[in-house]
Order: sequence, then C-alpha cells, then structure tokens
Amino acid sequence: MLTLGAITFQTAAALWALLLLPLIWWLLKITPPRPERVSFPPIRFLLGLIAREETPHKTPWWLTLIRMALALCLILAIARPVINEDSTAAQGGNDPLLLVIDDSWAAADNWTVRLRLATEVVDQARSEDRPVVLVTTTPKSTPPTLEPRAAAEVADRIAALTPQALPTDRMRVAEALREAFGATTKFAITWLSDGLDSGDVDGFATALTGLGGGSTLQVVLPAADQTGIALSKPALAGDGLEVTATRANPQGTQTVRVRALAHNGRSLAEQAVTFQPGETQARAVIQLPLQLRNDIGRLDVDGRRSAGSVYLLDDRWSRKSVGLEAAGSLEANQPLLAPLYYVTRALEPYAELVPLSQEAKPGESGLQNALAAGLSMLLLADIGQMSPADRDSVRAWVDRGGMLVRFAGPRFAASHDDLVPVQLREGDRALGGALSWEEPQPIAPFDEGTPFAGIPVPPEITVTKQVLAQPTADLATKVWARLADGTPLVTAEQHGKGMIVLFHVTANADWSNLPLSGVFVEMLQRLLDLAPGAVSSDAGSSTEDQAKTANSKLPQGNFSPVRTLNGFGELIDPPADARPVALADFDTLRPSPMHPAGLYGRDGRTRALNLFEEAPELKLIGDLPAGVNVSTYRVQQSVSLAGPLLLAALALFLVDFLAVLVLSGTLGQIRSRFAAGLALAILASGLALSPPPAEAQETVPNPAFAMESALSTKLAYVRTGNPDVDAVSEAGLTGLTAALIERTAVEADAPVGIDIETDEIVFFPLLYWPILPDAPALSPQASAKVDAYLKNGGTILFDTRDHGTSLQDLTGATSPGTRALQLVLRDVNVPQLTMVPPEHVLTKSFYLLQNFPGRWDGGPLWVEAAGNGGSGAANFDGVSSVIIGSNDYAAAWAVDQNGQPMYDTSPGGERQREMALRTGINVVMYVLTGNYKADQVHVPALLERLGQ
Amino acid sequence: MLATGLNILVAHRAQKTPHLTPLDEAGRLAEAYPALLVQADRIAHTVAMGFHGRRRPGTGESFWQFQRYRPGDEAQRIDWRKSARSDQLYVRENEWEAANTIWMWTSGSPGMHFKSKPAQSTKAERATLLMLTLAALMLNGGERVGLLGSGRTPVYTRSGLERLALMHQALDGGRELPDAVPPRHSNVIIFSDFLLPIEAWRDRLAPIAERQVRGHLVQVFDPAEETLPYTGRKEFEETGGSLRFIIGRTETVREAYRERIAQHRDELRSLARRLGWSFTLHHTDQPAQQAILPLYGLLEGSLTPRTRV
Repeated sequence: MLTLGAITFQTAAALWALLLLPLIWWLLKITPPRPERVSFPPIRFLLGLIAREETPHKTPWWLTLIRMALALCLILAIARPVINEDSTAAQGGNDPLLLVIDDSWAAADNWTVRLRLATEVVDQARSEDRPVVLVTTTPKSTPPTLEPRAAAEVADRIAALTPQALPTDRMRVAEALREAFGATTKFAITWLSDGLDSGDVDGFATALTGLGGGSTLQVVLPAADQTGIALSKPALAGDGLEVTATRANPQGTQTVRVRALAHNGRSLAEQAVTFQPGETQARAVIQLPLQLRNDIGRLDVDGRRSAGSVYLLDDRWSRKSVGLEAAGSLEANQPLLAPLYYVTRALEPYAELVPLSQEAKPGESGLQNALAAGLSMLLLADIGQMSPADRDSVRAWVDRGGMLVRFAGPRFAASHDDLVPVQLREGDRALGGALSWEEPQPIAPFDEGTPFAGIPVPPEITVTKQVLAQPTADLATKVWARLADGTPLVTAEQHGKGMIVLFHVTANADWSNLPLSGVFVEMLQRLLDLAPGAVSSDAGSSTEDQAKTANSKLPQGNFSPVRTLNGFGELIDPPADARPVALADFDTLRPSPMHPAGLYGRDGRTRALNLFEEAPELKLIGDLPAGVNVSTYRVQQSVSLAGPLLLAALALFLVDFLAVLVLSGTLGQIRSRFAAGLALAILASGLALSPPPAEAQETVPNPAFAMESALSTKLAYVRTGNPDVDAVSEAGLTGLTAALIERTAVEADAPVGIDIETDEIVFFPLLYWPILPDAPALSPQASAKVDAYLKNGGTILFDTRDHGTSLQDLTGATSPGTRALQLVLRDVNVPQLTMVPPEHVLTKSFYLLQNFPGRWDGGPLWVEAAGNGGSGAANFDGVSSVIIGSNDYAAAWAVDQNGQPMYDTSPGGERQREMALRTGINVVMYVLTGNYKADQVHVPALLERLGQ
Repeated sequence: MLATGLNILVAHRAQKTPHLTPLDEAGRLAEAYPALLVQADRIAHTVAMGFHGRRRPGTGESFWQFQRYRPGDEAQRIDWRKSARSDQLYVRENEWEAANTIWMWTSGSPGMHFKSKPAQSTKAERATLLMLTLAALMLNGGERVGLLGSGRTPVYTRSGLERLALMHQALDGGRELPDAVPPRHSNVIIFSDFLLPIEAWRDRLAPIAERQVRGHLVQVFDPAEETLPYTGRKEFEETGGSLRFIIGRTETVREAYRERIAQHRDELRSLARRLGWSFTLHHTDQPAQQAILPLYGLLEGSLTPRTRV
C-alpha cells in the first residue's frame, strides 16, 4: 500500500512498471503501424512513380501519445488506486472491545455505513490485538453466547450481519451482558445506535458503563434526519387510502414520497407526505380508484430501505367477491337469456365476480374451491340440488356468515334442497297464462324495515311465474318483498351467522321482467351491502371474518408464514424458526423473532403482520449520562479509480484501433464488407427472434388414455362391475358402431368401457350406462364429474334394462332399476324429464321413428323436458343431457365376432332388431349433430314459406 | 422468413462457385456458336483433310470438276452417270480440301493467377477458358489445333479437345513465349496479360511473324490492374516475385499508373498492327462471351484487325 495524499495505491508494486514507459515510447516510435499488403502483378508499372511520394517511416506523434496514455492507464489501473477520506478509529485503551450494534429496522437505511464503521473498529482492535465481544440489540429466538473472540473472527461475523424487521430490546441485552461479564471484565464499548430512544437508553447506557466497574462507552449516533420513518395502518378515506407516516426528528420540514405498489411490484400511485416543523406525524391521502385500490399489496416510503417504512396489505383490503353459479349451460349461445346475464351486469361494477362452473376440474368442485378461498356472497340461479359435498360446505359457509342468494327456476321448482329460507310448495305458479285466472302481478311497495325499503317500485314490473311459499306462522317475518297480491317475492332467513335470501323468480326475464329494471340492480346492491365484507377486523366477534373462514374441513387453522420482511423491507423466504400464527392473534400479536413481520397464508388467503399497526412514537436519543462519548456516523466514501482508468484505457484502445484503420486505409474496405456483416446480423437476429417452442400443456392424469380417446370419436359404456352386463354393453356398442359405419357418416372407433369413478369422461359425446338394480350410489367426486359432464354438453343414455321383466305396470310401484337410477343420480342435478314427444328430434334425427324398441319393446324413452321454448331450453345445442330408457338396447344391438346377433328380441322379429338399431343410430346422430338436426325439423315449414 | 433467407444465401453461393471444369465450361460456351473455320489466305501444304478448299483437284469431299478419263486413272473413279450421257468416259475429281492449323499459347506467369475483388476469375482461368472455347469451335470446324511449345502434334478430331486440355494442364504455359516457332502459314493465338516490357514482346513475336503466320493477341486483364483502385498506405509486392515497396497514399499515383498502362497497351496495339496481327482486350470482370464474340469474328475473317482497334 502506498498513499499519496488522498490516493492510496493498493498494489503499489505495479507502479514499478511505469519505468517501462520510456522503453515503450522507443518501441512505438520505431514500429509504425503495418500497411496492408497487396499482391499486384503490374508492380513494375508503379516502380517509377513512388519517388514522388515520401513514405512515412515513423509513427505519427499523436498515435504514440495515445498508446503511451493507454499503457499509463493500464499500469495505474493495475495498481488499484483508491481515493480515501482519512478515517480515524474510535477508541483507545487496552481493554477488550465490546461492540454493540443496533440492528433494528431503523438502522437498515444506512446499514452499509454502520457495517463499515464496525469493520473499522474491529480492524483497529485487530491491529491492537484486543479480543472483541459483538452483540446486537434486537431480540433473538436463541440468545447468542457472549464471549470474547479474536477480532478476525468477529470481522467475518460483522460482514454477515443483516438488520432485522424488529425494534430493539436493549435492556434484555444489558441484562445478558451483566450476567455474562458482571463486574469482572472491563470493556472499551462502542455502541453503534440506530438513533431511536424507546425509553431505555439511559438505563442501557448506565448498564454498559457499569460493566466491569467502569467501562468507557462511545455512542455513535446517526444524523437526526437519518433515523427511520415508520408507516402505520392506513385508513380508508373516501376515494383513497389515508397513510400515516411517523418520524423521530421533530425539527424542520421533511417531505417523503409514499408509494402504493401492486402485489407484483408495479407502482400504482405516489403521494408526497410532508412533515411540518415540530410534528412527528404526517398524513396524506393516496387517491386511487376502487379497482386499483384493491390491487395494492404494499405501501412504502420511496428511497427508504427499511422494514419500518413498509406496510403490507393483505386480502382484507380487497373488495367483496361474489360467486356465481347457474344450472344449464345455454349462455354460450344466447347471452340475453342466460340465467346470470342480468345478475352479472348488475354486480359487475361493485364486486369481484367469481364464476364457479368454469373452474370445475375433475375431482374437485369449483364451488368448494371458491368457498375455501373466501366469498362474500354466493349467488345460485335455478339450482335445486347441490351435490352433498357442495351443500355441506355452503351450509358451513353460511353458518359462518356468508350470504347465499338463490333464484328460483324450473329446476329449482322441481326439487330443491333445504338451504331455503321458507318452505316452498312443489311446482310453480303461473299467472296470466291461458289456463290461469289471475293477471300478471306487479310488485308491492317495499315495506319499511326490509333491506329494500326506499327503493321506488315502477308499476310496469310484473311477475308471471313464481314459486310459492307454504303459509306458515313465521312467514311474514321472512318476507322482504311481496307481490301486490301478498305472495312473497323475496324471502330471507338468518342462518347461523349468515343469511339465505331467495328470489321467488328467475334471475333472467323468463318469469318476470324484474331483472330488466333498475330496481333489480338496486336490490342486488342492497344485498351486496348486507353481505359480509371480505375484510375482517376481529376473528372473535365480527361476522366479516367468519365469512372468510368458511371451510368445513379446516376450521380455524393457523396461518403459516409465506414471505417475511427482512430489515430492509424486502420480502424474503421465511426463516426456519418462523411459527404459524392463529387467525385470532393477528391484531394483538407484534412481530417477534418467532413471528416475523410479513405475509402469512392459508388456503389462498393471506394475512399481513406489520411492524406497526398504530402509529408509533419515535423519539431521538437525547441526553446520555455523563462520561459517554458521542460521535456521529461519518459518511465515508472511498472511491476506487481502477474502473475509470480501465474505461479510459478501453476508450484509448478504440481510438488507437480506429487510427490504425485510418492510417492503413482499411476503413474503406471494412465499409464495403459491412454489407455482408449486416446481412449476417439480420439473419442472427432473425434466429434469436424466432418463436420459442410451445410450452408443454398441463399434465393429464392418464395421457395415453386421454390422447387415444380425444383423437377419435368413439362410443363409451359405463362398466357396472357385472361381467355379463359389461360384455353385453361392449358387444352392443360394437354392433351399433358397425351399423353406424355402414349406414352413416359417423366413423367411430371401437367402443371403450369406462369406470365412472376413476376414468375421465369428457372425451365421449355419448355414454351408455346400464343400470343394475343393485347399482351403488356415486361417490361425491363422481357425482360432481357427471354433473359437470352433463352441464358441459355430454349426454348419457341410461338403460334400466327391465322393461320386459318388471311388473311395474301392474303394481304401480317403481321398478328396482328405476330406484337404482334414482340412487345413482341422487346428487346429480337432473333436469325435468318427459317422454319423447311426437315431434322430438330423436324421432327424426336419422330415421323416422315412432317408438324406440330395444330388446324389449314398449318401454318409454325419457328425455329432458323442452321448457316452453321448443328445442332451446334443453342443453347445449338443444340436446337432452339425459336419455333414460328401459328396453335393454345393448342386448338388441349386440353382435358376436361373426357379426351375428347374440340375443333374441321380444316380442321378436328382425324388424324389431332393425328398429332397435335405428333407435341407436338416431340417438348417436342426435347427440353428435345437436340443433342442426333440430333445424332440419323446420325444413318443410321453411320450404313452404319460400313458396314451394 | 429464416428459411427463405437461407435459400437465398445458398442460391447466391451456388451462383458464385460453379462446379464446372474449364473443359465443361468451354464446351458449354462453344455450344452457342457455329463451328469456326479459321480464315486462311494461304494454307500450308498438309495432307490433313479439312474444309479449306484449295481450288485444285485433290482429296476432298466437294465436287471440283469432271475430267476425261486418262489411262492410268483408276477405273473406280469413273463417274458412270456422266459418262453415259456421251461417248467419253469421265472421271470425277473432288476439290483438294485441307485443314488449317492454329497454334495457341497461354501465359503461365505467376501474375496470371491474380484475381481482384470485382473480377470473376483469375486471369489464367479466363485465358484457359477462352482458349478451350475457341479450340472447341475450331475443332468443330475441322481445323487442327495445337499448343505452342508443347512439342506435340496438333489435334484435329472433335474429341481432341480433351487431349488439348490435358496437354495444356501438363504444359502450364510457361512464363515466356516458347522459342518454338510455328510452321509457315499457320495461325497463332496468344493469351497473356502482356505485362512484360514492350521490347521483350517485340523480340519474341518478330521471329513468329517472319514465317507468314497470322497472329492474334488477346490481352486478359484484371480490372484492378486497369484502375489501381487501392487507397491509403499500401505495401505492394510482386506476384510471384521478390519486389516489394510501400506507397504512402496510393490514390496519388493512380493517374500516372493508368497513363502508363494505357501507353503500354497502345504500344502493343501498334506492334500488332505492324505485324498485321489483331489485338483484343478482355477484362476478367466481364463475362467470357464478351471476348469470344469478337475473337470469333476476327478468326473467321468477318472482322478485320483494322476495324477492331
């Protein structure tokens, strides 16, 4: 090390190379840059000409100068010069050194300065060969051992120190020091403080100086405006968030910028917060539209790297979420008739809508997922029966405060579960129809005391159809809105801590024109206001919070740390000893080593544990006991010059390179070659920009099966577990497939058997499902799967196979097969069924059929009832999602390996077998072509209209 | 986009490096011209059959005259159809048709292998191509073509072109015009860059011209040699030689150099004129066809050396 004034050369030996400079000068002088060599046949013609031109044999002086400067820069850069402010170390004496470092959040902002000073102090101790004791003042989960160590060892530990997102706890340190050393050891103490007095500075200083009966204490204080700024819990204010910042130094005006960041770190807004002289608190409102406000994940002070200047916002701050689900899947085709269209439009501006049916994945229910993630309000349109698991979780969720809003509808009227506010009569009541005496009813003005009170009711709103409540004693208390004739329109009931609300009409305009009016929007808005917020303040008392914890399986679990703050205010992975926090504790718990500040999560919900909820009182360290030396952190800058020197050398090298090019005349040739280089560059960039290979799709449980099933159309049957029945099903579908290939454009592959509990069924347009009398009920997962399959356009042909054997016609009782079918479909939302009407598409989708025989003849075929609007009301494309027969179709279709029929038909005849095959073909065509065939029904009418 | 770029690149490269031997290329070039019958004022007395009619009876294929049968004539040669019209017996005589002999020489000096940037090939390649093309045309015309200094007899069959090419490869030109002098009344075509001083050429060409040989000089020149396109500081070295020196600013000597080249060429032209020979200039950045066409005309005689200046 060589120090010249303010410049220190860290590798002074390299400076000896400067002696070489004259040699380099001489070498450069005698070796001019080499010209380009040209082989040239007619050189003799040039011979006489060159006498007129003097050739430069010397390097131009400026080129030499450039090269000398280059060499000089390199030599100096290797010597590693550093500009240093002189730093004198803090302390004298021969006592062991006790280094106390405040590693609190307030110290994080100037952490490097602290570390450097600490290193200097330890370095000096090393040069004086004094042992060092290092203590930090934030609480630790395991208190470190206090013993003097060699200074070199301590220097390593100092380099690894990081600030904690915690306040200091100095008295505990003082206690530990007293226990460890007591009166025995005298120390020279250096205390690198964070400048904040939490009321214990006097005691701490006294304790320190008391060590060993009179240690010397040197306190290093930061400048008053270098102490930390704390952000505490913001308040919701009109159109934004009111943030509160606290500082320690009451003097002077100070302006900081508070930023609002989204969860992904994007900056949403910034607001200047100005501290007035004499005040330690400042407030300002960050103006943000509601949608953006819900995105805020973090508030922090721009330019302050400190955990105290960060406030994390969890999902208690975001707006209410509403889950939507409806039966039927027609909306893809006709949005204005979609069950949820008007609800969606009404709620969209005010709440976050969570459509549930789209999210359903095999094996799990979108509804349960959404409830587990937390909903404020759940809206079910025309859903009568939920699967038992869904129903249980909805019930649990309502018990905990959720708000369930249901709309009636044809399915709901047919059957409904018990999650309704009032007892309902079966069926619906039509008003103003051809067979009805009554006129369509208007709505009566809303009563005072109901949530809808005050909403004006326009007289043109009429209800043509509704579900009726059983008149019970307590009915009147549950009615929120009624029709002019007194029948309830909206009923509600408190259920646990939550509420169930039922609209006795549909959510679309089928039954009334209520959804078309502004009143509907206002009513839904009032309901939304009633709905518990997604924000919970107190786990114990508030219903708000309960709504979020509605999960029947995991009641009141603990939140485990997901990301924690380090002292710099950065989110890092939680330390190994971080413990989960019970939900109830969040508002009382303060960060500690076991519960570090940060984000805690469970089931997709997060809670933030912040360093400051209430605005803290920050105080500067003021007077210290006598005999304590006070100094301040000096901002020391040592600037390394090696980098700039190397840069200069590089620049000079480039200049020299250019100069040599110019001198040798190569520049012109380079210019001409540049074109080719450019073409290559374009080619290379083309390569670089070419699209990356497509990412792999998400994994499918059984890719081979899925691939095979998805690549070709094939019929599928559900395996019953009875080998005979399954063999008949297989043979039957084989026969039907052969007939399809022979007679129609359907080129189906060989049929497959499906285990309804485990296999994926979404690939098959049609499932043939023979029902045995002893068929077991479906598991909840399978029920959900079948339900989703039917809702999304699949069709199942159930075959009870018992028409010829059962005696139902005589006794009037349902057959065992039908009972088994009811058992199987107990938890599936089955639409209203009807016998195939005469003009149904099934009767004419390929062959014209009057009846649908199988092995037996005469059993009826049931399909989804086609509401009041022709083909549209059934399912996707007007295809009935369920077809139920009892004629044992597979046995009629079944062929053996030689293509011969396996079973006789009854009453018999080839014609019946032919008709059975035609039935099968019609069913397949019906399923595959949908409303195209339905439209074909109208062809005669269309032709007639065209004047044929 | 990338694929098309590559295609263009490949096509471009394919265009730039044709995989053709000079022989193939010469054959291709020759296809474009009819067979070449070299103009000959006087034909050397050779027994070789050719197409140059000697306006006297002899061996040949064209009819020349009928002559009374004289005893001693072979009976086979009697033209019976003619004889049947009269009482005389007539013998049919054909014109004596002989072949012309053309001797060629291509300079093989190291400088001939020079190729600058805009040029398509080296001077030597181009000269060989021109020579073989002309030879192919002449062989088609029934002429005899030989290589000066090869010591071999001229070839005269159409398949002789290959032999000629091999001969040329083995001979490799030589730096200077060989001392071997072609026979009288033959033709000589010399391909070279003619960079030797004019005196040297004068000395070499004089003995050939003495023997009433028609000569054609073809100067194959590189465009860089013509224009001296270099700029800045350059070190020039003689191709295949030891001479080398540096010129500080090449552009300053360009004018003077061009003048010198022009003067040298003028001297060559006047030398050719004096000998009654032709002089043709060809640059290697031009397609070979551009040289073939005037040479064809000159050799055929439809273009006189006078008109070609």
